[in-house]
Amino acid sequence: MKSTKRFYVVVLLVFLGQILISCGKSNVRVIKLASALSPSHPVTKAMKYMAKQLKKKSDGKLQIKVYPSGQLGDEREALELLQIGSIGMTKVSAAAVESFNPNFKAIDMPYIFKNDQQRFRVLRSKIGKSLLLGSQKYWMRGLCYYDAGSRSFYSTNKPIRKPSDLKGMKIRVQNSDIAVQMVQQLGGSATPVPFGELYSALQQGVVDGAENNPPSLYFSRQYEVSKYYSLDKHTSIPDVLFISTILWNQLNSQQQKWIQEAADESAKYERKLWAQLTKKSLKEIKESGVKIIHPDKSLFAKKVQPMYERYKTEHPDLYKKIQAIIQMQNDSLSAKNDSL
Amino acid sequence: MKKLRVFRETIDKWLGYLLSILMALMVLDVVWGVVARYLLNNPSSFTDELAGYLLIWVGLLGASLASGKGMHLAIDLLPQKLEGKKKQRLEIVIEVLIFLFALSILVIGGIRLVYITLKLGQTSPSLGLPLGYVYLVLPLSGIFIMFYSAINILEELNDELQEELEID
Repeated sequence: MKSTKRFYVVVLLVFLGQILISCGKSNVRVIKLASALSPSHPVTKAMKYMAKQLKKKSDGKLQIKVYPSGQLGDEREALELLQIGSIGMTKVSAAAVESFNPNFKAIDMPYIFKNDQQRFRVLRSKIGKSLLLGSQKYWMRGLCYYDAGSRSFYSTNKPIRKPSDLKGMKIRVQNSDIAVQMVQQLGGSATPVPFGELYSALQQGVVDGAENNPPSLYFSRQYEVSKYYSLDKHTSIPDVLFISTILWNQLNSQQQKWIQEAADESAKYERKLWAQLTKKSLKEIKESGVKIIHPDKSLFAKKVQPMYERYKTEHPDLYKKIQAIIQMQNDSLSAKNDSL
Repeated sequence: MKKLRVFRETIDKWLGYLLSILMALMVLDVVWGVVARYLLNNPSSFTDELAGYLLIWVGLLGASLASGKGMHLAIDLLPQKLEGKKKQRLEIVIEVLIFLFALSILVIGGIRLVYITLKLGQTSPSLGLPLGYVYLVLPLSGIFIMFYSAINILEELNDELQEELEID
């Protein structure tokens, strides 16, 4: 009896000691970063790289701990926890941001970017920055964009060469307003299915096809149950890194600068990784017997035009953003033509 | 005391009705989801989301009704060993703890969450419903749990008092 009592006292003392030790270290700040992606994903690797850079810059005073694979919740939950300050940073797809900051729909629109270079330019420009910083109204501050390539359709039975091929096909989409509308505009019927259930949904014919970027198609092994991959590149929805404004406002300007720099460096690093992975994934998908189709993108682009008109009256703020993005790309194209 | 008991029974009844309605809605919603996907071949996008939100409401309101009736899961190793006055005291301590939990986490924390979510205007992806309304169930169920545990405490105290009177 006596020895058990002593045991409890020792346990209690050790516990209290732990608390005291952790209090003593308070000049080191560890930021929690939530991500839904697996540890081997290029974006996760880039965020680990950011953590390393930040540690170096701040002499170990500011650290980031990455929690991958959705350990702290899915993307929506992570954003919510970020708003109330329970976690410091999170990386989410821009599609998940739509229900928090509706202006993000602008970069999720199909065929909003003319090509990859234009996309990087727009996201780097004032427009891209205004989306990141404009989110501060919603208690979250965007730090940088991570490239997530372009999404294209893949199907199990029927090749998709032109929009009319989509007629009567059930296409799995993300749970996003824009994605549902886009597939409907193209003539298909949009079905939101959770990503984890998509493999068996394709196998059993619950859906006839889906859409995603090459690395996701490759990593999810859904190419095993798909026959065709039509590179129509309809949307290019980037990933976005956010920091809680509650945390951001607690930092001094030097610390804020370190974090921003580390984030920018990691974005550059990620773009390289992503480009390599896209090439590798496409090669592997092709070798597994999936037929890669290069359809005429302009046919698809023409079909989704009414979506742009819809926001003119419904959401003028968003419409202005969309027009500014288009204008910016047209300007740069005409400038190029002049110089030729 | 008698009036309190009647009031409690009325609340029990209406909470039960509300829960049955929510449960029925949930069943209809899920059935519609299956019919739309497999029979009509035109899957609807809102059923999954609605079912999730209804489950949250049924779960939390059901928890308050269950805790009021003492039907919730409990580890009763200690209460089983105690008898008489000691057991009653323990019951009161437990109810006070439940009361404090409901007040601080569900009511105060819940109101804070509802306020922030409504202020920042987060909406659900397919229904477009402000999520603050979904979270409203947190303070609501907290109030019910507080009400029930307060009544339970009063009843325990009353019993104790009466027993003492009988002994005297």
